[in-house]
Amino acid sequence: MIAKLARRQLFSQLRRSDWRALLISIFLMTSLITLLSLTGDRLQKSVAQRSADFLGADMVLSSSRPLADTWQQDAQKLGLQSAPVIQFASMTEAGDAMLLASIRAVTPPYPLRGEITLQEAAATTLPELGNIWAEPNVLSRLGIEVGDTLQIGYSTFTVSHVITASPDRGSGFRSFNPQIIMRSEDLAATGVIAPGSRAQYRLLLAGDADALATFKAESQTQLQSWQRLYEASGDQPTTRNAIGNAGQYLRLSALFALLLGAFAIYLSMRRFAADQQQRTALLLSLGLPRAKLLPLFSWQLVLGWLLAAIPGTFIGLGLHQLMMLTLADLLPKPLPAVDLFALFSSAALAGAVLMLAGLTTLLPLGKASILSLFNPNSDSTFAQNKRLYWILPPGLFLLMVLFVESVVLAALLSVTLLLAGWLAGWVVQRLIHHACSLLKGRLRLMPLLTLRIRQQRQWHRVQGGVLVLLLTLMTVLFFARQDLLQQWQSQLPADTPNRFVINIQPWEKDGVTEWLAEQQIDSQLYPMIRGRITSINGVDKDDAFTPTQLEHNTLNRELNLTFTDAIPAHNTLEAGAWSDAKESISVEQSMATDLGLQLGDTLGFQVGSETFTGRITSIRGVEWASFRPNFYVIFSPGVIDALPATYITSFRLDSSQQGVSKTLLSDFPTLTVIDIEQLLAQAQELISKLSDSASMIMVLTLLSGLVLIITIVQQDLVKRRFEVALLRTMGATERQTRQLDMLEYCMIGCASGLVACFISEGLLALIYQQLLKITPQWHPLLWLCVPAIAVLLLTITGRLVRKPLPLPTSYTLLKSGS
Amino acid sequence: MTETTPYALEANLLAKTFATQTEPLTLFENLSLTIEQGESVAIIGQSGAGKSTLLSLLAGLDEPTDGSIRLLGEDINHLDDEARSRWRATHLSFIFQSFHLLPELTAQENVQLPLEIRGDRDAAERARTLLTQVGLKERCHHYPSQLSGGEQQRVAIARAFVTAPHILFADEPTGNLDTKTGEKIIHQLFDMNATHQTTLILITHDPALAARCSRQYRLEQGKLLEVLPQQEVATHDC
Ligand SMILES: Nc1ncnc2c1ncn2[C@@H]1O[C@H](COP(=O)(O)OP(=O)(O)OP(=O)(O)O)[C@@H](O)[C@H]1O
Ligand SMILES: [Mg+2]
Repeated sequence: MIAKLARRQLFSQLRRSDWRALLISIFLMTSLITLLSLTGDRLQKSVAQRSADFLGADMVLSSSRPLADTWQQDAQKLGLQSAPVIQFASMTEAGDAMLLASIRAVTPPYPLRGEITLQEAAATTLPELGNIWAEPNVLSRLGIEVGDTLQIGYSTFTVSHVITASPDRGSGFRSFNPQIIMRSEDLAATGVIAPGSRAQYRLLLAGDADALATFKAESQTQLQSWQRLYEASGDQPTTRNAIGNAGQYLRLSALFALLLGAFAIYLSMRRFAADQQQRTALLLSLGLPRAKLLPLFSWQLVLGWLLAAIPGTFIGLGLHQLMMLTLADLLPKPLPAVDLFALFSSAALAGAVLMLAGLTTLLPLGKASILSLFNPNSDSTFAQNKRLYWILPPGLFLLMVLFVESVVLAALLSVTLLLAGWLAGWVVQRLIHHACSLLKGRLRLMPLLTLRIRQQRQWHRVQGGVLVLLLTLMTVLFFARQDLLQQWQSQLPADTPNRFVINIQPWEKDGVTEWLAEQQIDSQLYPMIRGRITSINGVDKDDAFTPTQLEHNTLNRELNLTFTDAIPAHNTLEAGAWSDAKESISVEQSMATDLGLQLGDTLGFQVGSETFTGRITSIRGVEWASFRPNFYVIFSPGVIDALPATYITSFRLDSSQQGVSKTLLSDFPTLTVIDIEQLLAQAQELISKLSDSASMIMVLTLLSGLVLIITIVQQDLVKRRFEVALLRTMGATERQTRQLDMLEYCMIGCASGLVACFISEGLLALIYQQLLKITPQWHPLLWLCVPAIAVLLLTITGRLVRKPLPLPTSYTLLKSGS
Repeated sequence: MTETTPYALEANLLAKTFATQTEPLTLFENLSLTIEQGESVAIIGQSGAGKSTLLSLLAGLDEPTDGSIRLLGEDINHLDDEARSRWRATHLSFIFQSFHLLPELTAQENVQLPLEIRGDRDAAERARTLLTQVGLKERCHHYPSQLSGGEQQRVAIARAFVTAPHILFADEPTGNLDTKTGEKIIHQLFDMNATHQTTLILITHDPALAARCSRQYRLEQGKLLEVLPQQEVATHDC
């Protein structure tokens, strides 16, 4: 009986704006959070992905230097299967087209776990000698087809199959490049890999768990700093990675969505409950037992939740798939499967918020008094239980903690958002107030508007806060993207190099220098030697530096060292002086600052098994975005000259010189020429794809924000209707009352827009300086558009919500004496 | 037209019919009424007789199905919304059963409101004068929630008179008050009426209030009958 009554209430109340707003809030909240958390979850997992099928093995030993054969022998002794892989970036050519590809040289059996899927089935598990398998974009970018040939280094290969998916694609940027698989037997002939070449050497391992554990235990002591052992087990959260960060960002957006949604649900719930007061009293007077009230409303809420959350989940899932399709090229393949838990967690979340909001607003209805039926004027004595309200914030906070899986993050974020929102709302309200006193006496409606502004100030604060946060979020995202793209297109000086040449072997050095001179290209070759910093002033680095300092780029990995006989022309001398004395070094400024290095300090280095020291005699300023070879540490000649090195250079080619890099490659096939313009174009594509996806999120966030604003506007609608009715009988025209509302919305819009502009400019400046390292600039367009958009947004919502009040209705409202 | 002052209200052959789901509901037909300026007229009748509806027609807030109304010689149903609103702001005022003060405004601001709709400059000063007249000088800056029901209705009376209206419409002004307070309010109302030379048209269930008016009408089964003083005793049960 209760379920039936609840079902009837559910549908009959669909005509009520508060109940509708509640359902829409739940719907939007679930779809938005489903989209965000599914996408975030899958991105993060794809980065942290360590499943055997993804790694192509149960365990992987990875190294930036060639691996000794003893590793493989050890594995064999333990009864493990093993397969060595070398992955490197190299130029490939076909006809006039060139492409930087990520190449894996593999030995059967490969892969040990998972499988390589091809467009057309192959007879063998790996390419035959002299053949390669390539991903579709290798073929499309080079303009070739299956059966055609392409050039890698000195060798020519036939493309025999197209790869649709493969395990062991490598990590990080390596996995973004189009991939090629070749046989390791063919590698030597290409001449691409030489001592000092950049490559990743991996040993794939598979076998039973005990043997793997033994291998792991035994290897622990032998692992060098450039070697890592990965296991195909649990997801390790990876930070410090673009995709990982994106995943994090999505979770944060989801949290914002959660807050917006929770607020909207709470507000519509509150209005709903207030209006249920009479209905409840009536049901009670008709003989409904008090104990049945809670089941009745719970049923109605559960049914409403189902009605809204299920479509929400599916829409969210659909949008998520759409987004994954947009980003397909950028993501590692195969993607981890959709996590069912993540899929349904947002619906559950919405349910939890609904329960929380419902509890605080509906429970007091149990105390509704039948007496209220006899005194219709008592709507102000709406039974409220103040104590229940205290459940809401901690409850919501608990949900947030569960959602982001971190107390600190949840606390930080909610405090920041609430504080920022509250502050922004306060400023907006003050602005409106001031604007009002400025306009006083200039506008006929002004006295009325002043009254309105005063009476609505609480809601103005809330509306202002929400609106400012929303606008700021969108503005920052939009302009950061816009500026970033523009910056890359316009800010580089005309003579900025657009070609990098790396992997120049020592024996090719003179040839390349000669070739450059022949082509009248003004460029210098820099040797590159990979080494580590081991100590400062004789103290081991682990003892001398703080944990944060140890995370610095120059300490946590091998860095490239070079030697020259003067400070490079494109660097600036910031302190000290260049010294030719043996064991003098020049360090880069930010490194010196971050690590607290002083002139005269001595750094200890290790290259291979060799150790040596260098005394800091100068500190250099380096423009990292200059597209010239840049180094943290430069030695004076005489210390590291004899160590194995490869050379690097960069230069500029005009569009008329396109053929030049082609001739360079035909003379020196193993060089890697990186076309920076092409790289930038790729990066731009990446950014615009990412920001397209971000826009999708933004639109949904905006929608939930709008629903929230509508709910806020609706909060006082009944009161407003009374007010308008009263004004009408006093002789205000319909036009006047409409203008009054519109003026009010304009003022909130303008004020919120301005505050949002202000905050956005600040944030943008901060982002530019701190993150993107570009000069901040003003955005006149922003100051024009954002307030305009805010005004438009509010007046449209206002119009949607506000229904004209005919004169007879006005009177009916007032005479009925409620 | 002659030089004589026009009637405050001239209603001619009024009819009002509501369209409902089943059959049209006719409240009254061929209803005529003439009220001179400065008169006070009470309309009594059973609940549901259509008193409030009649009042809204007489005040030009709703349109009759048939017939015509002239207020101060003007046929306001022929004016557009804009002009009618302006006309209303200058000539008419209302008092309601449930006061309808805006809770966020002080007593004085509530009284100021109609002046501000018209765009008058000396709103604050006039509002204070009127509040003094109803004996609430000390309560100017109090909010409605800080005032008793009777005091709230006095603020509403001050608000009604602040524009110096020609005609004041009141729909059960004492309906929400106890008898004693009601009497005080009635006193106040007629006091103000005398001071301001306003035409008063009110609906009431209160015989004491009706008796103070210069004329009484009873609305019954679509007819408006004048109640003569001797009849009044027989019908004071309503
Ligand atoms: N818009 C409408 N549509 C249909 N019927 C209406 C409408 N407005 C009023 N009525 C009907 O007209 C009748 C008269 O209503 P009205 O409010 O004028 O009565 P009243 O005499 O003022 O009663 P009370 O003394 O209870 O205030 C009622 O039966 C009411 O249901
Ligand atoms: Mg009535």
